[in-house]
Amino acid sequence: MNDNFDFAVQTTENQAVLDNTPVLSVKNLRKSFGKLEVLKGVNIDIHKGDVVAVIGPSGCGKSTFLRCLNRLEEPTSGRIEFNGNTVFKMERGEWKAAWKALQAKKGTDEYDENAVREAEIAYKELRKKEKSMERKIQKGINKHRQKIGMVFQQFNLFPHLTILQNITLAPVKLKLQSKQEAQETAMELLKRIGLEDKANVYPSTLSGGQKQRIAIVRALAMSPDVMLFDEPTSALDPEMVGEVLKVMTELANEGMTMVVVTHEMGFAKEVANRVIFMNEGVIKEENSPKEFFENPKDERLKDFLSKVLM
Amino acid sequence: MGIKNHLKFIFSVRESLLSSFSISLIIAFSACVIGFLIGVVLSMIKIAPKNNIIIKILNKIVDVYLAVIRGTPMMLQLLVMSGVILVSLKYSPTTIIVPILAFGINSGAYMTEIIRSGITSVDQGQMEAGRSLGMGWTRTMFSIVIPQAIKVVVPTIFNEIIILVKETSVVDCIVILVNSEQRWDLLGMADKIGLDKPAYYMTMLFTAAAMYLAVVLLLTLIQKLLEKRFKKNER
Repeated sequence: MNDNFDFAVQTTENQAVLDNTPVLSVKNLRKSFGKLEVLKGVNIDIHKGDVVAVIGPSGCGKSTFLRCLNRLEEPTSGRIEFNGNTVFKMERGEWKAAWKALQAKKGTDEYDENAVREAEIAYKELRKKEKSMERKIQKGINKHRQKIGMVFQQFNLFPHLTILQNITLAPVKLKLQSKQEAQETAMELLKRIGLEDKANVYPSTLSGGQKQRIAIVRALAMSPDVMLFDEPTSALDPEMVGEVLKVMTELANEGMTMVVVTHEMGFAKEVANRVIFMNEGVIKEENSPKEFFENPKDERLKDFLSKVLM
Repeated sequence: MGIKNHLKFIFSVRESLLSSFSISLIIAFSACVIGFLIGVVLSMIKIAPKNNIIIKILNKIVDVYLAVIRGTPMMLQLLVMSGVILVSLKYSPTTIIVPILAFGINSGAYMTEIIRSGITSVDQGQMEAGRSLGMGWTRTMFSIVIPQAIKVVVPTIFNEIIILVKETSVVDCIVILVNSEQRWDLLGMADKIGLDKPAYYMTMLFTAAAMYLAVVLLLTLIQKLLEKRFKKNER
């Protein structure tokens, strides 16, 4: 059924550059919290250099979607590929449903014992395959996460470490760089955002905007292939939103692939090249920013835009 | 008369008092080390992501241990432990191993809860941030979460040590079972000396009280210094 099943986890670095593999490819992604289904089948391909703005009413699953991409949140089913490597694959649910559907016909004329047995065998085989796949993925997940940068709403800087240590911790601990190299990279990045004088202070002395810029730099220090932003400006004082958006805009202009969950319509309009409207756990509309804001088609989106754009 | 005689008496029995106090402290601090080690290991089991069957089973076992130890009196545990060791190892129940193990196992349950609650008090976002940078659960735990938890845990750990130091006086109940002439810990010794010389009974009790107090005050001081040290990082 899937030819690339066994090879999918092998590292294929730069494959995205060679052929046109999307940086992130999401297929039929579902996520339930208990009985509440938050994501009901999200499909999207994100290519190199894309800046995708994800907007939508609160509770529509946009943050959950973002957190599923690097598996901070465990999806329920679907498939996620990062640079062609499978980072999540759980499609047996549909097979089980098919098997159950066949079984349910018991007693009627349509009931076919052989078909049921075949469906059962197929489902069990798939389950076995997916379980061994999952073990492989778990071994590789940390490697993938190194290349998927993430910026949180609440910054999540490490309060017991200085700014410099915050940035160098992961590259040094993961032996990607020597301490010296990591510090040089960190200082360079800090210089770019104009905070090099803060290198040796603790996060508690910084403003929200500064903290978030440091958080962006911390993720950048891993030189990720894609950056995920989870409402990066929502916890900020209004006057600090600008400085963070400026850093993000620069990043976008440099060609970084970004997925940004945001309420900043200005950013979506000016910087993103694709805007996505999520509602009720699915992508309701996707378009270029111009079309998206000037000519929305989905009713709920029209309603949403009329409220946020005033 | 008065005070001078009392001081003289205290001075004359100083060796018995100090040696019995040292036994109390040895029991308390050895138990504290054992308890701390148990606490670190078990709290890790309680906190580890429950994604495999072994962790789940270990969790149930730890839960039973916590319930039993925290749900029964210390003295009872001490008596059971002396019984167990007596039967299985044919040792005298008054070997110092018995109270050290009993107090260590008892304290381990409390330390587990202290360390676990300290770690869970660290914002979930810290773990997420560490994981999102590609660090594994264990690495994130040890280089990000635990350093922050230590600050929260220090006062409560010291509270537990202080309780332990004083609770060692319960040892008397197993010592006295075997040989009513023999006394080990400070309170027991003070009691015995006092009973031999009833005129000085209260003096002995107050002396013992002062000695416990001195150690507890010293521990409190160390705690304050440690807390100050950890606070420095915050600002």
